[in-house]
Amino acid sequence: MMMLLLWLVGCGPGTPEDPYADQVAAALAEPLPADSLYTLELPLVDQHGRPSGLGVGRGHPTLVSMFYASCPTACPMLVGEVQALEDRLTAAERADLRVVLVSLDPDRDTPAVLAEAAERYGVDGARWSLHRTEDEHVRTLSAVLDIQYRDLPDGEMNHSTILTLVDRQGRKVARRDGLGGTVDPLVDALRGLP
Amino acid sequence: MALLWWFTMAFAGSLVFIPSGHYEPLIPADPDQPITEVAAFRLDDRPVTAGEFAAFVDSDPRWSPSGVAPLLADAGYLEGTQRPGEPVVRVSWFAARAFCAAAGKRLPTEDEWEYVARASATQADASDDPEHLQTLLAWYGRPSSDALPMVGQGVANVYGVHDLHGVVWEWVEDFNNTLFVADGRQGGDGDRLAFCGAGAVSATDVSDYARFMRVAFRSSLRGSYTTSNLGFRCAADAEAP
Repeated sequence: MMMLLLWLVGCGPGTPEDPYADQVAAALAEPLPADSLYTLELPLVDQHGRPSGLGVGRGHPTLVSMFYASCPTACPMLVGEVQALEDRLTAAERADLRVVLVSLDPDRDTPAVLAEAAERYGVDGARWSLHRTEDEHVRTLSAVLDIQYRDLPDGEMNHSTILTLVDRQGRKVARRDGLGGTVDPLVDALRGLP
Repeated sequence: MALLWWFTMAFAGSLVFIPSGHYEPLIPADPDQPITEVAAFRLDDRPVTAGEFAAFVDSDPRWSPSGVAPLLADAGYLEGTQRPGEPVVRVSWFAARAFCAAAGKRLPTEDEWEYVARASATQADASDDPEHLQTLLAWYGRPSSDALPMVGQGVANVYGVHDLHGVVWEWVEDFNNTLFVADGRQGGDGDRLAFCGAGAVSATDVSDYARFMRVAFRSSLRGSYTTSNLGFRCAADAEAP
């Protein structure tokens, strides 16, 4: 009994295993601020076919971007750069981070295709989620994230790659446009979060 | 409130049938196949007025200046007062889209809008008519400090659509489809890295300068932006035959 009590007390402040537990709990206890991405009505379905939403990582700092599974160049690069960013974090920081990717190509990116892409990219399925949504919501999210895109006749898409970091409540705090540039501002912003 | 909204919409711009056809976008998705097919659809014969938009806001406080989410409209949203018959301006893309959805319509795509905008009072495609182009260009050169005219006063084009030119700029559904934005720090390579696909921006017809200005203007917009000369009109799919 005493052991159990000690264990429970141990969970109160951040534990060595999860030093950010307090911040996560605090964020979940507060109402969403008006400028949170998570206030948007954007029904998503994740790579496991489960209903989801942009706020799936609420409580955790989250990187949000858009991609499509059959994208040959830019999207694998984007994923690789996020993984490289993660490699620079401490184990605890990495465990605290979430990554939410939403497909620009809802016609082809079914949950099964997204699951295959997640495996191909070798992402950590516990913290990364890949999503699809309906066309009208794709355009909405692209406008919210300032991502430009259009379909090309050959089935590919033109799209800009913008990686947005949102805080524990879904407020934008930093972004990186294009590929190949430094991710330092994102790492700094992540470490500067309360 | 709902009744007022219904009543207002009953007198709002009416949808005009636009037959299908081909047109060449200024910046085609595939420069090798510039001709783009536009399916038949319907387009409001005039822009949405300030009075109509006010009724919408009354019916849905989520779109009032104090109620709107900051992500969906910037600080200038619906700022200032407008006469009821003027085209509504200082509306964000999100708000324009919500208005059309509430009216059972949608925003026109850029292709649809530009396809109809080629028309003069006498021709479906006046984009090769220098006199017509000059008339349009004169508007873009007018100072924007002039008061906005009332909607529906301009000469209708061959489809019966008013005010595509000469009143306000208008939102389209896919305003963010054009990738002009380059990462200047990296020159050409940066461009290539920033986008999937091979889409380089290459205009097909630069003689239509007004058109070029519209494309450039749209590409500078963000969904939450509002300006004193940017409004919208709604569209709808063609009714099933």
